[in-house]
Amino acid sequence: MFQPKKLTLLDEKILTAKALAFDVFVLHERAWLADRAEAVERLEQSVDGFGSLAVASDSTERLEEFLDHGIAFLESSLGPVLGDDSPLLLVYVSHLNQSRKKWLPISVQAEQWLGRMQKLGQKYLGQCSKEKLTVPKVRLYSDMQQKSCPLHGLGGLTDEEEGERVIWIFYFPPDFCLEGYFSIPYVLSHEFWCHALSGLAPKGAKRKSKSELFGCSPRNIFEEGWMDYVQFKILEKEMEAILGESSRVATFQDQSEAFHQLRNSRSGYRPVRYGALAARQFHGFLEQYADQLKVSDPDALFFQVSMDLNLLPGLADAKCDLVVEVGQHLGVFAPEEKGRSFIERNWNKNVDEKRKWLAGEIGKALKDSYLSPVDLFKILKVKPL
Amino acid sequence: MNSTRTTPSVEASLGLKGLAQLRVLRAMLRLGAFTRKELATHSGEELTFVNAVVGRHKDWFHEKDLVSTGSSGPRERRMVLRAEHQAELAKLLDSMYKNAEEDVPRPSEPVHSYIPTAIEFQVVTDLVGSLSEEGKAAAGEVRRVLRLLEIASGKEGLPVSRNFEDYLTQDLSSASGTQKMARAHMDGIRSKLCFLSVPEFLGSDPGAAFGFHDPIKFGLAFLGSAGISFTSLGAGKQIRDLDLWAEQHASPVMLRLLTNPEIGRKGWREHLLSTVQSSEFAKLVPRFVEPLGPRRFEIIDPTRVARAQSRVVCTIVEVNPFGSRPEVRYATQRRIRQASPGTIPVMVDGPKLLDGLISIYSANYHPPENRVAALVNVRHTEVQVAILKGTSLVVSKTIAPPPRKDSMFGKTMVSSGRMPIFAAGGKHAVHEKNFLQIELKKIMKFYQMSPNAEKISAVYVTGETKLRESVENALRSNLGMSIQALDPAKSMSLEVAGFSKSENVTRARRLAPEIGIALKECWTLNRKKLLEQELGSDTAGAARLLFLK
Repeated sequence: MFQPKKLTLLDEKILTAKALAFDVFVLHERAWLADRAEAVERLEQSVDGFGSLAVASDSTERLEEFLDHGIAFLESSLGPVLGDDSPLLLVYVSHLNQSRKKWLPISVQAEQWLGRMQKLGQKYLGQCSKEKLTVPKVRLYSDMQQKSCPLHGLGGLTDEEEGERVIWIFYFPPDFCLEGYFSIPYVLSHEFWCHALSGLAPKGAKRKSKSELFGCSPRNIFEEGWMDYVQFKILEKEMEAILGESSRVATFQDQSEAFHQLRNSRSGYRPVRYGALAARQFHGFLEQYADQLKVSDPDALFFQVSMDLNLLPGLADAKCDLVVEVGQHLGVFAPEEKGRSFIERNWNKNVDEKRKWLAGEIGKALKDSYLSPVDLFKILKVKPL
Repeated sequence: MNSTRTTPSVEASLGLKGLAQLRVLRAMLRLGAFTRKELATHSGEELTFVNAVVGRHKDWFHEKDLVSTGSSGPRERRMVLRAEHQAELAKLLDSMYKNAEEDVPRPSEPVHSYIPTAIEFQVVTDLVGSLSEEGKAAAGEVRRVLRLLEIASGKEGLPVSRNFEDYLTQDLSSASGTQKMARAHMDGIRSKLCFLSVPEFLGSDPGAAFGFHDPIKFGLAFLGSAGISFTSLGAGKQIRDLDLWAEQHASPVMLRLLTNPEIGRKGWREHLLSTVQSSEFAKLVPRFVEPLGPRRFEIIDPTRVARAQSRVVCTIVEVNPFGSRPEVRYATQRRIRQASPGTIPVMVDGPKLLDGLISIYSANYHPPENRVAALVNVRHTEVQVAILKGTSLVVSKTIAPPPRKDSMFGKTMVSSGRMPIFAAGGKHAVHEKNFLQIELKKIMKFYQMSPNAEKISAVYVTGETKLRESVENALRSNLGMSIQALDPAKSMSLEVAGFSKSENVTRARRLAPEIGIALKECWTLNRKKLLEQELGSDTAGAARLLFLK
């Protein structure tokens, strides 16, 4: 049985104060870089120093008071670098004080973002999937754990408990940086779309075998790769709705894109990268052949078939096989691949034919712009054992 | 085609003219839908050049929504290559390839450092890496990796087959050096997959789930194939890496199979042993075969220093523990200054010799739990006696005259200057035999008076040939129990080259405790290797995490 887990007050204070400093800083970043680039490094060092503030560990001090201390600390440590009367500093500090009034604890922000994702999840399920499914109840737990935070002091995990999905978000305050804060929606979105919405048995149906147990391998090219691309595209589309405001959408999107690239280009994670590339190829293919397929919204078709595949309980091997077959039919290439001229010529000659064939087969299987994952298995000769 | 030359890459064969344009157009065809920045990344060309090429073919694309780029600069519009223009683009590309200069050698790195660049091969490398950490591979993953290897083979211009076995017989005589290197890398991966799948074959029959039926046979075949190719291409590092992998991941599994023949399948053991114990395989992958082949021990008794003081008497024993029965391949004594390379030195003392004696008796007689037997090892300097119940030692004693001066033989005797002590003949032989008999009787009486003592069913004598025969005869007429020469060939093969069967037995009898020590050391080393693997896999398992990967 999971014990609901929340951040300690100390971690919550440090992370929230860091997030505030970064959130305001991005609005001033360009001016700082143009005028006083060296001060940016000092700002980062000062923000990292929040944890060493004596008041941080004072359990009687509330978050709001700690934010005031943090702002004062930033002002005092940046003053010698920028100059106490520097307009850059004055404007930044004033902006911090202004934002601080409405600034929510980091765990509350994450709860809000995930809550909006769940609503979107229900909307997408309704629009895309033919299965009459409801988004399962998703709990959000937070914890501080270094080993679970491989990138920017941030990490995530999804588990299942008593029929509910539990998303864990992990922070490691010393490594938590600007990129980390702006990537929180990405981590939540990955956990939600890739894992919380995976293998949802239709109401009343029970899982049959061990292979249908919840969870996936870290090298699962479908759930970790293909679906990561899918969730990233949804996030790109829905960032404003998830954040609940528009002023920082571009920053969150850019950082999410960077996080997506970084996550999938890590050493040892090329299977995941392959899955994402195959998904991108399939997405592009549907866009290319939208007219032939008589599909007005290829994005919706792509989301539908991907989500329906993910919703199928079990079949982990078949889903991964499908990714490989899509890659084989459409051609997945990494930029660093060095081709051989005679092979490339052959591939180029065949690609149009192969894509046309696949489009034809999908066209035959489409019913009212709906592509059943079972039909896709059949077309690509994948046996859903 | 010359095998030391690489196949020309597109980059090399086209020259600089038109190359940049070809790269951008090729990226367009491959991606189908893209942003300009994606095209620049994929083609490796400058954004301004990409913009120019895109601008030239505007009508080929339709523009979609703005997307984030993840880096500085404005958001970008996604572009989609219209399906009806795809063939036109492919045709244009084909004409550019046609104009390319053929057969230009690639002036890049040497053939032996070539690694396939296909993303499928990179994926497979990572997958096999993580499967190796887990120490096993499930059928679905194996099939998927094989499929990815097929795709990677196609990208390398290598023959492709859905039949796993075909990759061992395909003719690569006209393939280029890089193609052969690519194939060697892929064979290495195939070999790894086979070895990693062995645990899955130990339970119920997986049928056709893996795409092959005999993981040992194919694992060894692909390992050999990769090894030969790497060696012939001068890829020393690659073969060493493969050997290291096999030592870490395949040897322990093979060792487990050899030490527990009942868990394997019919035919595995024979094929495995004949392959790993061949000299060709030992040269290709020495680290892999080392724990699976015969082991040579130098058993050194530090108390036996030769006259030339810098040398010690050493018994060299080579045993192969994995034959259908344990096999002694070599056994001799030499005087050595220091341990020889490639051998395992073992220092012995009295208790260790006794252990060796018990070990050789157990290996040959497999005594039932309640059988009581006495073992007597007769040496010139001392006699070791052990009484065993089953294979457990109950009583032991080393009989040796006092070092200098004593009256044990009934009259004052000065032993200094007389070596060895016990002898088959000579003026003291009668006294020595009597002394031995008295001591042996004492030990047996001592045992028989102990609680739960049972009848000694037999006395097995071993040791120096003439002395043993003499002692054996004396005991037979005096002790009134079954006295036999220990038979080291009862359940063991004695295959010392150059000796007749009877000479082998005589030699083995003379060196029985040392051979027993070698056998015991061999089993201990194997157990240690297995334990190390178990501990290693536990640690790897504990370290795996399922959070955001």
